[in-house]
Amino acid sequence: MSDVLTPQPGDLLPLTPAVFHILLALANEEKHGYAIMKEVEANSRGQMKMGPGTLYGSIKRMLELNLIEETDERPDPSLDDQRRRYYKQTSFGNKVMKAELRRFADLVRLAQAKKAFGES
Amino acid sequence: MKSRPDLSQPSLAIYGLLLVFYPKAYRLEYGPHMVQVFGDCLLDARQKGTIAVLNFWFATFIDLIKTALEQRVRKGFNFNGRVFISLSAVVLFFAGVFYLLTAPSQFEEYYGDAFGGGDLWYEVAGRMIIPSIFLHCVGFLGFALHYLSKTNRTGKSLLTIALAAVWLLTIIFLISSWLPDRWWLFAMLFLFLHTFSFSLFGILCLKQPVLPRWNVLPLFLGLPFSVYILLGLLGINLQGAQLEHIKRILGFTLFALFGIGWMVLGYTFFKDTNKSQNSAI
Repeated sequence: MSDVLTPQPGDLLPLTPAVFHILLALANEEKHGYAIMKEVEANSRGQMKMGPGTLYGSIKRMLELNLIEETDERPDPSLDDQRRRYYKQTSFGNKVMKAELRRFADLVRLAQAKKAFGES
Repeated sequence: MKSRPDLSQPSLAIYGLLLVFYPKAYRLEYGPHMVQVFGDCLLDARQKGTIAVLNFWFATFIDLIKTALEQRVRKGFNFNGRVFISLSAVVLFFAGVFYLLTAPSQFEEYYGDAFGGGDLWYEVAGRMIIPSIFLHCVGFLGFALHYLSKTNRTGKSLLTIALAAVWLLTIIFLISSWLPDRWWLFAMLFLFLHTFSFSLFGILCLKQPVLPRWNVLPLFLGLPFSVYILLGLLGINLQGAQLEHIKRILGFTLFALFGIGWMVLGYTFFKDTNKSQNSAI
Protein backbone atom coordinates (compact mmCIF):
# COMPACT_ATOMS: atom_id res chain seq x y z
CA MET A 1 0.00 0.00 0.00
CA SER A 2 2.73 2.46 0.92
CA ASP A 3 4.51 1.75 -2.39
CA VAL A 4 1.40 2.81 -4.28
CA LEU A 5 1.16 6.07 -2.35
CA THR A 6 4.86 6.90 -2.35
CA PRO A 7 5.72 8.95 -5.43
CA GLN A 8 8.37 7.52 -7.72
CA PRO A 9 11.03 9.73 -9.34
CA GLY A 10 9.46 9.26 -12.75
CA ASP A 11 6.11 10.52 -11.47
CA LEU A 12 7.54 14.02 -11.15
CA LEU A 13 9.03 14.25 -14.61
CA PRO A 14 9.39 16.41 -16.56
CA LEU A 15 10.64 18.92 -14.03
CA THR A 16 10.19 22.62 -14.54
CA PRO A 17 13.44 24.38 -15.53
CA ALA A 18 13.59 26.19 -12.19
CA VAL A 19 13.22 22.99 -10.15
CA PHE A 20 15.75 21.13 -12.26
CA HIS A 21 18.33 23.88 -12.04
CA ILE A 22 17.91 24.19 -8.28
CA LEU A 23 18.42 20.44 -7.90
CA LEU A 24 21.51 20.66 -10.08
CA ALA A 25 22.86 23.56 -8.04
CA LEU A 26 22.47 21.46 -4.89
CA ALA A 27 24.04 18.34 -6.43
CA ASN A 28 27.38 18.62 -4.63
CA GLU A 29 26.82 20.69 -1.52
CA GLU A 30 24.22 22.56 0.48
CA LYS A 31 23.63 26.18 -0.40
CA HIS A 32 21.54 29.15 0.70
CA GLY A 33 19.04 30.91 -1.53
CA TYR A 34 21.31 33.56 -3.00
CA ALA A 35 24.07 31.05 -3.75
CA ILE A 36 21.52 28.79 -5.47
CA MET A 37 20.38 31.73 -7.57
CA LYS A 38 23.92 32.62 -8.61
CA GLU A 39 24.83 29.04 -9.43
CA VAL A 40 21.70 28.60 -11.54
CA GLU A 41 22.57 31.76 -13.46
CA ALA A 42 26.15 30.58 -13.97
CA ASN A 43 25.15 27.04 -15.00
CA SER A 44 22.65 28.37 -17.54
CA ARG A 45 25.14 30.97 -18.81
CA GLY A 46 22.86 33.81 -17.83
CA GLN A 47 19.78 32.40 -19.55
CA MET A 48 18.02 31.46 -16.34
CA LYS A 49 17.71 34.38 -13.94
CA MET A 50 15.31 33.74 -11.10
CA GLY A 51 13.79 36.43 -8.98
CA PRO A 52 13.25 35.91 -5.25
CA GLY A 53 9.61 35.01 -5.93
CA THR A 54 10.45 32.24 -8.40
CA LEU A 55 13.29 30.97 -6.22
CA TYR A 56 11.31 30.61 -3.01
CA GLY A 57 8.15 29.50 -4.78
CA SER A 58 10.17 26.64 -6.26
CA ILE A 59 11.91 25.93 -2.95
CA LYS A 60 8.56 25.71 -1.19
CA ARG A 61 7.24 23.22 -3.73
CA MET A 62 10.46 21.18 -3.62
CA LEU A 63 10.26 20.99 0.18
CA GLU A 64 6.68 19.76 -0.09
CA LEU A 65 7.75 17.10 -2.62
CA ASN A 66 10.71 16.07 -0.46
CA LEU A 67 13.19 16.92 -3.17
CA ILE A 68 15.22 19.15 -0.86
CA GLU A 69 15.40 19.80 2.86
CA GLU A 70 16.52 22.63 5.08
CA THR A 71 19.72 22.06 6.97
CA ASP A 72 20.39 25.04 9.18
CA GLU A 73 20.68 28.79 9.32
CA ARG A 74 24.11 30.30 9.52
CA PRO A 75 26.05 33.20 8.03
CA ASP A 76 27.96 32.85 4.80
CA PRO A 77 31.52 33.99 5.50
CA SER A 78 31.99 35.18 1.92
CA LEU A 79 29.05 37.57 2.16
CA ASP A 80 28.17 39.09 5.49
CA ASP A 81 27.12 38.17 8.98
CA GLN A 82 23.44 37.73 8.19
CA ARG A 83 22.07 34.28 8.98
CA ARG A 84 20.96 32.44 5.86
CA ARG A 85 18.84 29.33 5.46
CA TYR A 86 20.70 26.47 3.77
CA TYR A 87 19.17 23.70 1.67
CA LYS A 88 20.41 20.36 0.42
CA GLN A 89 19.11 17.58 -1.81
CA THR A 90 17.31 14.65 -0.22
CA SER A 91 18.07 11.16 -1.46
CA PHE A 92 14.72 11.23 -3.25
CA GLY A 93 15.62 14.56 -4.84
CA ASN A 94 18.88 13.07 -6.02
CA LYS A 95 17.01 10.18 -7.65
CA VAL A 96 14.62 12.60 -9.37
CA MET A 97 17.51 14.69 -10.66
CA LYS A 98 19.21 11.59 -12.08
CA ALA A 99 15.96 10.43 -13.67
CA GLU A 100 15.61 13.80 -15.37
CA LEU A 101 19.23 13.73 -16.54
CA ARG A 102 18.66 10.27 -18.02
CA ARG A 103 15.60 11.65 -19.81
CA PHE A 104 17.69 14.48 -21.27
CA ALA A 105 20.42 12.02 -22.29
CA ASP A 106 17.82 9.87 -24.07
CA LEU A 107 16.55 12.93 -25.91
CA VAL A 108 20.05 13.89 -27.01
CA ARG A 109 20.70 10.33 -28.24
CA LEU A 110 17.45 10.41 -30.17
CA ALA A 111 18.32 13.80 -31.70
CA GLN A 112 21.77 12.51 -32.67
CA ALA A 113 20.23 9.43 -34.28
CA LYS A 114 17.96 11.68 -36.30
CA LYS A 115 20.92 13.91 -37.13
CA ALA A 116 18.96 16.80 -35.68
CA PHE A 117 22.21 18.56 -34.83
CA GLY A 118 22.97 18.84 -38.52
CA GLU A 119 25.79 16.28 -38.76
CA SER A 120 26.34 14.65 -42.12
CA MET B 1 33.82 38.09 8.24
CA LYS B 2 33.16 40.83 5.72
CA SER B 3 30.67 43.54 6.51
CA ARG B 4 28.69 44.49 3.43
CA PRO B 5 28.01 48.11 2.57
CA ASP B 6 24.78 49.42 3.96
CA LEU B 7 22.04 48.78 1.42
CA SER B 8 19.56 51.34 0.39
CA GLN B 9 17.02 50.80 3.16
CA PRO B 10 14.15 52.42 1.24
CA SER B 11 14.55 49.82 -1.52
CA LEU B 12 14.41 46.96 0.97
CA ALA B 13 11.44 48.57 2.71
CA ILE B 14 9.55 48.99 -0.57
CA TYR B 15 10.20 45.40 -1.55
CA GLY B 16 9.12 44.25 1.90
CA LEU B 17 5.87 46.19 1.48
CA LEU B 18 5.25 44.60 -1.92
CA LEU B 19 5.32 41.15 -0.30
CA VAL B 20 1.82 41.93 0.96
CA PHE B 21 0.60 40.46 -2.35
CA TYR B 22 1.67 37.00 -1.18
CA PRO B 23 -0.49 34.87 1.13
CA LYS B 24 0.18 35.62 4.79
CA ALA B 25 1.57 32.19 5.74
CA TYR B 26 3.95 32.23 2.80
CA ARG B 27 5.02 35.77 3.61
CA LEU B 28 5.79 34.88 7.23
CA GLU B 29 7.79 31.83 6.23
CA TYR B 30 9.76 33.12 3.26
CA GLY B 31 9.40 36.89 3.37
CA PRO B 32 12.58 37.66 5.34
CA HIS B 33 14.62 35.38 3.09
CA MET B 34 13.15 36.94 -0.04
CA VAL B 35 14.07 40.40 1.21
CA GLN B 36 17.55 39.15 2.01
CA VAL B 37 18.06 37.71 -1.47
CA PHE B 38 16.54 40.83 -3.02
CA GLY B 39 19.11 42.90 -1.14
CA ASP B 40 21.96 40.67 -2.36
CA CYS B 41 20.82 40.98 -5.97
CA LEU B 42 20.30 44.73 -5.63
CA LEU B 43 23.90 45.10 -4.44
CA ASP B 44 25.07 43.18 -7.51
CA ALA B 45 22.99 45.37 -9.80
CA ARG B 46 24.26 48.58 -8.21
CA GLN B 47 27.81 47.57 -9.02
CA LYS B 48 26.85 47.37 -12.69
CA GLY B 49 25.22 50.78 -12.88
CA THR B 50 21.90 52.59 -13.04
CA ILE B 51 20.45 50.74 -16.02
CA ALA B 52 21.19 47.41 -14.35
CA VAL B 53 19.35 48.60 -11.24
CA LEU B 54 16.31 49.68 -13.28
CA ASN B 55 16.27 46.41 -15.19
CA PHE B 56 16.53 44.52 -11.92
CA TRP B 57 13.61 46.42 -10.38
CA PHE B 58 11.49 45.82 -13.49
CA ALA B 59 12.29 42.09 -13.55
CA THR B 60 11.63 41.82 -9.80
CA PHE B 61 8.27 43.52 -10.15
CA ILE B 62 7.19 41.12 -12.91
CA ASP B 63 8.51 38.14 -10.90
CA LEU B 64 6.57 39.32 -7.86
CA ILE B 65 3.25 39.73 -9.65
CA LYS B 66 3.56 36.35 -11.38
CA THR B 67 4.60 34.35 -8.34
CA ALA B 68 2.23 36.09 -5.94
CA LEU B 69 -0.65 35.11 -8.19
CA GLU B 70 0.66 31.53 -8.34
CA GLN B 71 0.86 31.30 -4.58
CA ARG B 72 -2.62 32.74 -4.17
CA VAL B 73 -4.07 30.30 -6.69
CA ARG B 74 -2.27 27.38 -5.00
CA LYS B 75 -3.64 28.44 -1.64
CA GLY B 76 -7.13 28.58 -3.11
CA PHE B 77 -7.49 32.23 -3.63
CA ASN B 78 -10.94 33.30 -2.56
CA PHE B 79 -11.21 36.56 -4.28
CA ASN B 80 -13.60 38.58 -2.29
CA GLY B 81 -14.31 42.26 -2.08
CA ARG B 82 -12.45 42.71 1.18
CA VAL B 83 -9.21 41.31 -0.13
CA PHE B 84 -9.44 43.41 -3.28
CA ILE B 85 -10.20 46.59 -1.36
CA SER B 86 -7.32 45.99 1.03
CA LEU B 87 -4.93 45.35 -1.85
CA SER B 88 -6.23 48.34 -3.79
CA ALA B 89 -5.08 50.61 -0.95
CA VAL B 90 -1.54 49.33 -1.50
CA VAL B 91 -1.97 49.75 -5.24
CA LEU B 92 -3.03 53.39 -4.75
CA PHE B 93 0.03 54.01 -2.62
CA PHE B 94 2.28 52.77 -5.39
CA ALA B 95 0.38 54.80 -7.97
CA GLY B 96 1.48 57.78 -5.88
CA VAL B 97 5.06 56.54 -5.91
CA PHE B 98 5.05 56.36 -9.69
CA TYR B 99 3.42 59.79 -10.05
CA LEU B 100 6.20 61.17 -7.87
CA LEU B 101 8.80 59.49 -10.08
CA THR B 102 7.13 61.04 -13.14
CA ALA B 103 7.60 64.59 -11.85
CA PRO B 104 11.16 65.14 -13.23
CA SER B 105 9.90 64.51 -16.77
CA GLN B 106 8.36 68.01 -16.68
CA PHE B 107 11.84 69.41 -17.23
CA GLU B 108 12.61 67.42 -20.34
CA GLU B 109 13.36 69.44 -23.49
CA TYR B 110 13.82 72.51 -21.38
CA TYR B 111 16.52 72.26 -18.81
CA GLY B 112 18.31 69.56 -20.70
CA ASP B 113 20.10 67.93 -17.83
CA ALA B 114 18.83 69.65 -14.69
CA PHE B 115 19.13 66.55 -12.54
CA GLY B 116 22.24 65.03 -14.05
CA GLY B 117 22.36 61.58 -15.58
CA GLY B 118 21.52 62.68 -19.09
CA ASP B 119 18.44 61.78 -21.04
CA LEU B 120 17.98 58.53 -19.15
CA TRP B 121 16.30 60.26 -16.18
CA TYR B 122 13.72 61.98 -18.32
CA GLU B 123 13.04 58.89 -20.38
CA VAL B 124 12.52 56.81 -17.25
CA ALA B 125 10.50 59.54 -15.53
CA GLY B 126 8.27 59.95 -18.57
CA ARG B 127 7.60 56.22 -18.70
CA MET B 128 6.55 56.16 -15.06
CA ILE B 129 3.23 57.69 -16.15
CA ILE B 130 2.22 54.34 -17.65
CA PRO B 131 2.19 52.25 -14.46
CA SER B 132 0.97 55.23 -12.46
CA ILE B 133 -2.24 55.62 -14.48
CA PHE B 134 -2.89 51.89 -14.52
CA LEU B 135 -2.32 51.52 -10.76
CA HIS B 136 -4.39 54.64 -10.11
CA CYS B 137 -7.30 53.19 -12.07
CA VAL B 138 -7.24 49.84 -10.25
CA GLY B 139 -6.64 51.36 -6.82
CA PHE B 140 -9.37 53.96 -7.26
CA LEU B 141 -11.86 51.19 -7.99
CA GLY B 142 -11.24 49.74 -4.55
CA PHE B 143 -11.32 53.19 -2.98
CA ALA B 144 -14.67 53.99 -4.59
CA LEU B 145 -16.14 50.61 -3.64
CA HIS B 146 -15.11 51.09 -0.02
CA TYR B 147 -16.32 54.66 0.43
CA LEU B 148 -19.48 54.52 -1.68
CA SER B 149 -21.32 53.07 1.29
CA LYS B 150 -19.94 55.72 3.66
CA THR B 151 -21.10 58.82 1.83
CA ASN B 152 -24.42 60.35 0.84
CA ARG B 153 -26.10 60.32 -2.57
CA THR B 154 -24.11 63.28 -3.88
CA GLY B 155 -20.90 61.68 -2.75
CA LYS B 156 -21.88 58.41 -4.41
CA SER B 157 -22.55 60.25 -7.70
CA LEU B 158 -19.25 62.13 -7.57
CA LEU B 159 -17.24 59.00 -6.77
CA THR B 160 -18.97 57.10 -9.57
CA ILE B 161 -18.23 59.87 -12.08
CA ALA B 162 -14.61 60.04 -10.93
CA LEU B 163 -14.29 56.26 -11.21
CA ALA B 164 -15.85 56.08 -14.68
CA ALA B 165 -13.66 58.94 -15.89
CA VAL B 166 -10.39 57.40 -14.71
CA TRP B 167 -11.27 54.05 -16.26
CA LEU B 168 -12.16 55.66 -19.58
CA LEU B 169 -8.92 57.63 -19.42
CA THR B 170 -6.95 54.43 -18.79
CA ILE B 171 -8.63 52.60 -21.66
CA ILE B 172 -7.80 55.44 -24.04
CA PHE B 173 -4.24 55.46 -22.73
CA LEU B 174 -3.88 51.72 -23.27
CA ILE B 175 -5.17 51.79 -26.84
CA SER B 176 -3.78 55.21 -27.77
CA SER B 177 -1.31 53.82 -30.29
CA TRP B 178 -4.27 52.66 -32.41
CA LEU B 179 -6.17 55.92 -32.09
CA PRO B 180 -5.79 59.19 -33.99
CA ASP B 181 -4.06 62.01 -32.11
CA ARG B 182 -7.26 63.89 -31.38
CA TRP B 183 -8.26 61.14 -28.92
CA TRP B 184 -5.77 62.70 -26.53
CA LEU B 185 -8.25 65.51 -26.13
CA PHE B 186 -10.76 63.01 -24.79
CA ALA B 187 -8.12 61.57 -22.47
CA MET B 188 -7.48 65.04 -21.05
CA LEU B 189 -11.23 65.64 -20.73
CA PHE B 190 -11.64 62.43 -18.75
CA LEU B 191 -8.66 63.31 -16.59
CA PHE B 192 -10.22 66.70 -15.89
CA LEU B 193 -13.56 65.07 -15.12
CA HIS B 194 -11.90 62.62 -12.72
CA THR B 195 -9.91 65.24 -10.82
CA PHE B 196 -12.72 67.79 -10.79
CA SER B 197 -15.37 65.39 -9.50
CA PHE B 198 -12.88 64.10 -6.93
CA SER B 199 -12.25 67.66 -5.76
CA LEU B 200 -16.02 68.20 -5.41
CA PHE B 201 -16.11 64.97 -3.40
CA GLY B 202 -13.34 66.55 -1.35
CA ILE B 203 -15.50 69.58 -0.56
CA LEU B 204 -18.21 67.18 0.55
CA CYS B 205 -15.71 65.36 2.78
CA LEU B 206 -14.88 68.60 4.56
CA LYS B 207 -18.53 69.02 5.49
CA GLN B 208 -19.28 65.36 6.17
CA PRO B 209 -16.03 63.48 6.88
CA VAL B 210 -15.73 60.17 5.10
CA LEU B 211 -12.07 59.33 5.55
CA PRO B 212 -10.80 58.47 9.05
CA ARG B 213 -8.43 61.44 8.82
CA TRP B 214 -7.12 64.10 6.40
CA ASN B 215 -10.47 64.62 4.71
CA VAL B 216 -8.89 67.55 2.90
CA LEU B 217 -6.92 65.10 0.74
CA PRO B 218 -9.46 64.58 -2.08
CA LEU B 219 -9.76 68.36 -2.51
CA PHE B 220 -5.99 68.75 -2.37
CA LEU B 221 -5.54 66.01 -4.95
CA GLY B 222 -8.34 67.04 -7.26
CA LEU B 223 -8.49 70.81 -7.43
CA PRO B 224 -4.97 71.95 -8.43
CA PHE B 225 -4.64 69.28 -11.06
CA SER B 226 -8.09 69.92 -12.52
CA VAL B 227 -7.28 73.63 -12.84
CA TYR B 228 -3.96 72.82 -14.49
CA ILE B 229 -5.64 70.51 -17.00
CA LEU B 230 -8.45 72.97 -17.64
CA LEU B 231 -5.94 75.69 -18.51
CA GLY B 232 -4.32 73.30 -20.95
CA LEU B 233 -7.65 72.30 -22.48
CA LEU B 234 -8.62 75.96 -22.93
CA GLY B 235 -5.36 76.51 -24.73
CA ILE B 236 -4.05 78.94 -22.18
CA ASN B 237 -0.30 78.67 -22.56
CA LEU B 238 2.29 80.58 -20.65
CA GLN B 239 4.42 82.38 -23.24
CA GLY B 240 7.88 83.68 -22.78
CA ALA B 241 11.00 82.17 -21.32
CA GLN B 242 10.33 83.30 -17.78
CA LEU B 243 6.75 81.97 -17.85
CA GLU B 244 7.93 78.73 -19.47
CA HIS B 245 10.24 78.35 -16.50
CA ILE B 246 7.31 78.86 -14.12
CA LYS B 247 5.22 76.39 -16.10
CA ARG B 248 7.87 73.68 -15.74
CA ILE B 249 8.25 74.31 -12.03
CA LEU B 250 4.48 74.25 -11.63
CA GLY B 251 4.14 70.99 -13.55
CA PHE B 252 6.91 69.37 -11.53
CA THR B 253 5.40 70.57 -8.24
CA LEU B 254 1.92 69.41 -9.19
CA PHE B 255 3.07 65.93 -10.15
CA ALA B 256 5.23 65.63 -7.07
CA LEU B 257 2.46 66.77 -4.72
CA PHE B 258 -0.04 64.60 -6.62
CA GLY B 259 2.21 61.62 -6.05
CA ILE B 260 2.77 62.35 -2.38
CA GLY B 261 -0.95 62.99 -1.92
CA TRP B 262 -1.92 59.61 -3.39
CA MET B 263 0.69 57.89 -1.27
CA VAL B 264 -0.80 59.46 1.86
CA LEU B 265 -4.33 58.67 0.74
CA GLY B 266 -3.35 55.08 -0.06
CA TYR B 267 -1.81 54.73 3.39
CA THR B 268 -4.86 56.25 5.10
CA PHE B 269 -7.15 54.01 3.07
CA PHE B 270 -5.07 50.94 4.00
CA LYS B 271 -5.28 51.74 7.71
CA ASP B 272 -9.00 52.26 7.36
CA THR B 273 -9.56 48.90 5.63
CA ASN B 274 -7.54 47.09 8.29
CA LYS B 275 -9.50 48.80 11.02
CA SER B 276 -12.75 47.77 9.31
CA GLN B 277 -11.61 44.15 9.07
CA ASN B 278 -10.46 44.02 12.68
CA SER B 279 -13.69 45.48 14.00
CA ALA B 280 -15.66 42.92 12.00
CA ILE B 281 -14.02 40.00 13.86
